[in-house]
Amino acid sequence: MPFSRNIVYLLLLVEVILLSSCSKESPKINYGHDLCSECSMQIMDTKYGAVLITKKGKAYKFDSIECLVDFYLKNVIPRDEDESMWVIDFTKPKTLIKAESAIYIRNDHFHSPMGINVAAFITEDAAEKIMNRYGGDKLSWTDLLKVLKIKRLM
Amino acid sequence: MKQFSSLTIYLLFVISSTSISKQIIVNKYGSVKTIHAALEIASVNDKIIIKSGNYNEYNLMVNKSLDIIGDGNPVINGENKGEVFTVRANDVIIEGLTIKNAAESFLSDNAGIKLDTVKNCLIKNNKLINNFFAIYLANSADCQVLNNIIIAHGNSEVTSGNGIHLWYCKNIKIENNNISGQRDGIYFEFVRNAKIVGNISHDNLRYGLHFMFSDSCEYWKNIFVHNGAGVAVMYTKFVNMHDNYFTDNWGAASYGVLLKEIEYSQIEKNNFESNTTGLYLEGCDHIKVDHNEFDNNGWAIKLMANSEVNTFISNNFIGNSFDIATNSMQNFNTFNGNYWSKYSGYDLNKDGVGDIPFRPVRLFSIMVEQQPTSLVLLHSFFINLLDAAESFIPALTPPALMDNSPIMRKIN
Repeated sequence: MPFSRNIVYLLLLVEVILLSSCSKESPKINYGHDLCSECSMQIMDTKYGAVLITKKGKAYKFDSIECLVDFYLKNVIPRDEDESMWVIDFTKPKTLIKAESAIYIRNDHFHSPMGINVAAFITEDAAEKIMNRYGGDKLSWTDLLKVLKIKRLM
Repeated sequence: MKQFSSLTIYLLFVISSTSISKQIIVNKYGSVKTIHAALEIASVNDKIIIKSGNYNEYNLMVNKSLDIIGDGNPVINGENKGEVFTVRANDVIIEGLTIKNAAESFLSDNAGIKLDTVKNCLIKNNKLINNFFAIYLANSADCQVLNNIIIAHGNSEVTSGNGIHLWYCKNIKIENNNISGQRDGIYFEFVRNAKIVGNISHDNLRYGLHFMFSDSCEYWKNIFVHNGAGVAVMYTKFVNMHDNYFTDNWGAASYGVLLKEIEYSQIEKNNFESNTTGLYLEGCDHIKVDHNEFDNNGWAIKLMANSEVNTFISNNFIGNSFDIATNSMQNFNTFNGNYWSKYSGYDLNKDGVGDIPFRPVRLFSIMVEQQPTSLVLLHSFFINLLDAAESFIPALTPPALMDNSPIMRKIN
């Protein structure tokens, strides 16, 4: 029965295509087009930005780290549906790195889009370099959540 | 006689003290050839006059009170090497210059003219061409930015800064400027008591006007046309916008004006014409929207569910595909005495007010809100039928959202 075998192949092919299009890997922000899911602004500044991806593969994009944190703290989507969170590496525009392991610096030299003036760095070294030149406070992801949570209550 | 002599001494003192402030002429062919040199030899209250010509100079630091005046349209070219003018003194005037090519930068917001922590400065009649940021005010107060022309040819959003950028400022007047091609035409963050009058902001890459956290500012007689995403204002109280034009902002994410978390504000006598969405409100309350003109927009007003205690009175809604769209069955806002070109009621007692209420939310707009692709059915017979049925027996549109006294004739 070559006919039914062809159908099976065809179905397999379709499945492969469907599965590959559902991939949760490599989130990307389309600067100048995407809107921030928290503040509705068009995302423009390539030194800042963040993405939250759910288990179902839906990507929420943000113009700044502070918008991601606000969105996260508001529990807009149930916590158990979070898959991963990403932030832009300040020294490599448009490049997303894992939010939980990034190093954050808060400093008025950064004019981040929503006024909290925080930027993310992939390594301690990269962060230290900027700190040595401009100063600022070094924060971890959990520190950052605490700081912004207090700020939200004010 | 003694009195007379003391008077002469006084007069002499006055004359000599005024003559202390001198003029320094910068001229390619004169004794002072560069602006750098002039700034160095100048003392407080001097006047630097820059004669016509090209000056390739950047990082010009103005750290004393000076008048810097162009005579014959001199051009100062930063050659993409740094900032052009940085002002760090009070009472500085910069007038009549053409300033070009302040450098793009990763960490510093280089500008054609930057005012940093100053008071009483005046930036007037300048032309700013292709600068990263054009005019930038940080931590400043009581300054004026008048009659400047700002042009950039930014083709990618990411490498261009804002036209007039204010950060932590108060009591600033921005009047009669013309801004195009920047990222945001006018941008405010943490500003108080600014007056924005008679500016034209067009063809900017993102927003014509964009402000956040900037309470008590007044905007009037400005024109915002054909900007990438229109105008967006957020997280602010006591905004007064009147007699402005918000025109020709087309695109999926373009708004005549996007209001996000704005409170206690007035939107009066503005003209919203030919926008994808004229006015968008999200999380807004106590906003008075009256005597505005909404013509030929895709959506005249999108009113999101979390907005309440807003009033929409005496506006004209003419030829919009959708007058009002909302994502909620509830309504905590007031619509009264507006003119709706779609109103087909009658006025038997001839008092100029329609006898039956008007429901501005079409059933179809609810469908589009949930299922954007259904927009292809616009103007189809079936949809018109549905809309008609819904207007008799509202089932899916918010029953409380209606204008009880729609006006029969256009309001002037």
